[in-house]
Amino acid sequence: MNRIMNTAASGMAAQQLNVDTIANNLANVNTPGYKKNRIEFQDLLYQTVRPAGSEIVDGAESPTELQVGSGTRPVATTKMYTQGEIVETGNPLDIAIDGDGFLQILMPDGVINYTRDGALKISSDGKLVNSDGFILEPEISLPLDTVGVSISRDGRVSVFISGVTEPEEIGQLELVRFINPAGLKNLGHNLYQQTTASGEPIYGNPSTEGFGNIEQRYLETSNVNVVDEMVNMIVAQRAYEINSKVIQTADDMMGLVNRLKS
Amino acid sequence: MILEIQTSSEGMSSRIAQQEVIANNLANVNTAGFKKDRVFQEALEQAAASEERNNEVTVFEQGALRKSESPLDLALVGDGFFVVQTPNGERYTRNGHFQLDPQGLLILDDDVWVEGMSGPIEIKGPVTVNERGEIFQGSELLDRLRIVTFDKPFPLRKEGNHLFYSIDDSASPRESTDTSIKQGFLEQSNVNPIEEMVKMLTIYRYFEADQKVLQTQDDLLDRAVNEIGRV
Repeated sequence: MNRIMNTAASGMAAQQLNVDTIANNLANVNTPGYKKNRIEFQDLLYQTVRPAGSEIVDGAESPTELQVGSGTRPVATTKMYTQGEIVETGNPLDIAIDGDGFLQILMPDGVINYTRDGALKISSDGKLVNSDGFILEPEISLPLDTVGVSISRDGRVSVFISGVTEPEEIGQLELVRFINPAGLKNLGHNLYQQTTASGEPIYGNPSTEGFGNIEQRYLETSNVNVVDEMVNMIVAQRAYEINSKVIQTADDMMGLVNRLKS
Repeated sequence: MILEIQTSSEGMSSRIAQQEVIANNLANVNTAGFKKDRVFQEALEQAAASEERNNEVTVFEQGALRKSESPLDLALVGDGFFVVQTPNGERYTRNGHFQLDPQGLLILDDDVWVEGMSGPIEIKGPVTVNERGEIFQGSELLDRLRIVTFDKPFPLRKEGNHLFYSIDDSASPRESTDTSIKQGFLEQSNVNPIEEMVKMLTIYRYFEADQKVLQTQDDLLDRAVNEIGRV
């Protein structure tokens, strides 16, 4: 009877984690560049309680074996790197990647991390940085007398300087992509880190083979679909409830056994 | 009378085993590609009736398909199985939630490679998979997924982690021709929660009845020993 309890408890724990994942997705429904998580479950080991061919009553052999599973377990949360909706913001420093690719962000410790969040800012010394003030790689510095910035679809950054009519090209945005983006590690702050599972980054310019276009004055919204998440939440809650009923039933059965000798 | 108590207690034990199977089905109500197990006694009765001596415990009924958006999620419609290579040998699965390893090989899990017609499948970029399981990168045909099936009843047992293994070496798998593949979908668990809940309640009541019978037998025994036998 303990096995029933443990099996159902594994189901409850798994659904709990499922709800946690859904809650995080819903909390980030308005986070630019956020990619939703999906949780995956696996069935646990099976034990053979009675092998096939064992004798049940005199002369009658069991034709099948009795295999009992021991529940479920969450194995992974996978990021879904589907395209989020691209919405216009009008801000010249907002860029969205339409297609495959990540921007590179240089962390203070010298490590490069990756993001899909293109809400760029200008630091006090004129460099393009992300919302947390970390520098975009390759580094692009705007002259102090810049009055306007223009970013082309293939990632060329040009500036308009006061008093000069022609724009001046000052840099080129570079994107990276991965063989297995689902293997990237989530760092929070919209940042991802390369792992052995993701593979080495592949560098390239926007609009070249395999990479997406840069859209200036747009941001990529979160790819969380509220309706899907709500449906998932209802399913998870019901599955949780069902497993709790299994525990109750097992408990009642144990009570009956205890009452055998009153 | 002692023998009757023995019979009732065996009945109670078998109900517990049935509940264990139901608990496992219900714990996996949300596990992609999961196939439910039938409660043992039913399977036994059916096997006895039709004199089938093979494993009919797992019910390989088609699960519902659910849209998943990931291009590496593949669902099977029909009787086929994906073939995967594990460190323990060839295994079969209905769970098409695949990923890529750092080398770009298609995997189900760490060290579990998905088999194509020419071994592991290497993918370097966005792919499309058609209904026959042919994997295209652009217009280039990379490989075709190996989809196999067996003569029914399937000689397959569960190993956990979505995997099935063959228990009959002589029953070699054959290519499945009538299984179609849907890209961007996952097959859901085929557990029907209502059916399982009803079974769970029914078995619970049987268990209760067994307990009452056992108690009555004990009472009778008590009278026989302590009242009739009183000098």
